[in-house]
Amino acid sequence: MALHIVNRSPYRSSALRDCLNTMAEGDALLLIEDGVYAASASAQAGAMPAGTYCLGADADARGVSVSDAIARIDDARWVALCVEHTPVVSWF
Amino acid sequence: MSTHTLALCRQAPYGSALAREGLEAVLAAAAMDQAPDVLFLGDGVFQLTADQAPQEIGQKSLYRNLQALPMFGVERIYVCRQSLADRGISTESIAVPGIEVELVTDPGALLARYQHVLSF
Repeated sequence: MALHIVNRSPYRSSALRDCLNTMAEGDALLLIEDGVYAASASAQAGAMPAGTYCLGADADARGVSVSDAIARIDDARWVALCVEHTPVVSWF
Repeated sequence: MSTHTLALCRQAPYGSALAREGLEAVLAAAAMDQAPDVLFLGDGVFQLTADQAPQEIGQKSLYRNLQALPMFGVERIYVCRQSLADRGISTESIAVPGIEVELVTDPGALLARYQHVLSF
């Protein structure tokens, strides 16, 4: 299963939309940097698929409270995700 | 052709350096007999439009560089069918001499086949 990483705000870039349109069933999605704005509880970016993660440090930096449906992770877990998934695809 | 690495080209030409950097990375890898497969998706499909004439903005035609791909052993490129439709680009208009264009309806499934995906 692939891991998709999005680091752009969904309101300013098509990266998240392109990623969601391309992701296969069962792929994981990780929101980092400005991508975390899509993880906020009040996000208008539409529902995230199951298996969506968000880098906690980037969310905290931006004062984003992550929705319950999305798992907050740290760098160590990020590395684990990269190891568990092939390929890792960046969307920016 | 590799089932190992795929270059995912998603950016339009000229507006940023990413399109050219992606193509140069593919050509460089191909020169080392490590030719990745190439998938044009999203605005990346704009790289395939034939009548590019960027002299007046002081840039070299990216389309002409694309035509170097067959010489480096890249004789087939993947193109996302939906991305073309979204942009009103007809499949006939993106023919690149010497290269077989394979339209892809499920890019997610294509991506999943590779060990490494380089994003541009």
